[in-house]
Amino acid sequence: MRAIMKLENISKTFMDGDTPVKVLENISLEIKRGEFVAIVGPSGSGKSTLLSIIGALLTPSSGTVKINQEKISSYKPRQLKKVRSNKIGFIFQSANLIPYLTVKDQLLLVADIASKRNKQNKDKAVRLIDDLGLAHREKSHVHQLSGGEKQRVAIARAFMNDPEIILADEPTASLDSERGRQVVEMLLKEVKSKEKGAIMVTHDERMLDLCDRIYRMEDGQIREESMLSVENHPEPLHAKGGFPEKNKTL
Amino acid sequence: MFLAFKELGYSKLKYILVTIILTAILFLLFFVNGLASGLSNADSSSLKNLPADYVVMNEEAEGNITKSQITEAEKQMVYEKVNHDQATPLTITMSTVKQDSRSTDIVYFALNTDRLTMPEVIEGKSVRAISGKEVIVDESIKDQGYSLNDTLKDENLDTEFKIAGFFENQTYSHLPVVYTSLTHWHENELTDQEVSQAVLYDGEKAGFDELEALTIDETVSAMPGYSETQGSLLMMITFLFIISAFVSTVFFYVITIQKTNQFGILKAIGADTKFIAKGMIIQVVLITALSLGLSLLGITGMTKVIPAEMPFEISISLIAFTGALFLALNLTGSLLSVYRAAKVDALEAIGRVE
Repeated sequence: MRAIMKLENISKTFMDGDTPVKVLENISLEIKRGEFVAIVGPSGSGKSTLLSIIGALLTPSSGTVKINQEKISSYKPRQLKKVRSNKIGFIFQSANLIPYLTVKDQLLLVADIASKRNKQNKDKAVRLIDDLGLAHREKSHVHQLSGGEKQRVAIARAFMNDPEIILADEPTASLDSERGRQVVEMLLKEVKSKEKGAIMVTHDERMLDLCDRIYRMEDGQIREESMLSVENHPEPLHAKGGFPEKNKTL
Repeated sequence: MFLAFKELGYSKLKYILVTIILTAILFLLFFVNGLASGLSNADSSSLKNLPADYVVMNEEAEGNITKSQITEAEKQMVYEKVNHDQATPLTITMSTVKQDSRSTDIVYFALNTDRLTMPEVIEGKSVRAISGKEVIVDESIKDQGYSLNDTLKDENLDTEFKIAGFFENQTYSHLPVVYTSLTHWHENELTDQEVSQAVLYDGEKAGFDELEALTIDETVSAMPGYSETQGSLLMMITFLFIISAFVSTVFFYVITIQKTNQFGILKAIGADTKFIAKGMIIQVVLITALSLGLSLLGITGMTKVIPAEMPFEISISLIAFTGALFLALNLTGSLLSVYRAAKVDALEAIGRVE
């Protein structure tokens, strides 16, 4: 299968005062259609910066980013905005829903931003809500939802614009392990059934057995990890303190 | 658009409160505006509606028409320079008339009523047509119980006049003005023949020795207390505008700061500043328009209950102007919030910029 997203030799340098700090160094990775990929690594390893670059929020200092052969790494902010609106679905750490919208409106907002608010998209929103087991919550506001439900709404919202790539930034950080796993399983199911590519940045190594491939980041460098190591050490990071701190129950 | 409405619907209390504040300010704004124009009219409408282009007074009067004195010789001097048919001396006399032991203060404007274009009457004879004892009076005297063909008994002058007609917007210092024939006054020696207060004339501005030709506007603003009253009211109006603009600007700015993270999310999922700004501006326009409507309702209700003597006047043009200025100021203020929203980076949605 052809790569849906391809990163080649990505580097990113930030200025910290007067000294340049290299946050990412020669990162290359690719994701194929229907693939669910995890990026793990300690804080400060550059995960978020990498996610921002993949998510068209930042441009790399050097290297190329391609989504479906479209080279977005040299795009201007205006074009990046279009890429985000059409090609990328975001799932943020704490769901980040808009507080005054109902579940259905959260999804319709995506259509509104892309100026594609129509019957077709309304049906689609209802279908997505249904897919994620939220049919009874369609008219609920954010404060009425549990953490797991919020995250499921965020997943539905990410799929609303029919993106090529789903980016999930610590989607389980505020959930307990059972709910967290359910959310990731749902995300996985949607990714597989809709044949999207997905990248999940996570601290939570308990979810890694659900992923197709794992990249581990450290000090701005990335390497692919064999799935075997995960199977053998299901919870290797606990001892290192990499376990998510927020462990709220539902 | 849809976002703006959903938010208004969800955070009702917040927006209702700011609407109430803006409505109260606007109500006050309309009220002071109406009072300013009402007072201005009651004070000086007779001067505003003087039937001439220029008012000649002596220099010492400094524009205060009641203090001015023009002698017969000076009058002749003026007449030499201007068209005789388009000029008249004006004698102003304050007095009191009585009817059934009820006194009413009035101001006589005695002039040659067959010169110049006299003010229109709303009832009775025209000003030009009066003769002898006949006078035309401001309609506000009707509130004192006078009607057409009634007699004005003046004990100070020891004479009587007959109301031959009414005109409107002819008050001086809140008192009804009476247009009367100067010839009649001279014949009956009701006033000093040698002296009048001013000479009115139509035509070009002319210069005279020791005399001053003022325009109607200059005459009005030189009225004692006029500029002071109008000035303080104007200051109140200006401050109310500024306060309203600040209230709405600060309100929306604080809300914008609260929503910084939300705007980050919106931008991350592909919205641009235009999308966000549109929502804000819709909210500002909606709240401003709602406050305008409510305060107008309030003002309309109030005009129904205030006493008729209260000098309060509000016109459509004043409402339209005030409303437009109010909206413009609030929109200008909201630009601050738009600017703030424009600076929000989509990266804020990620919550941590490494």
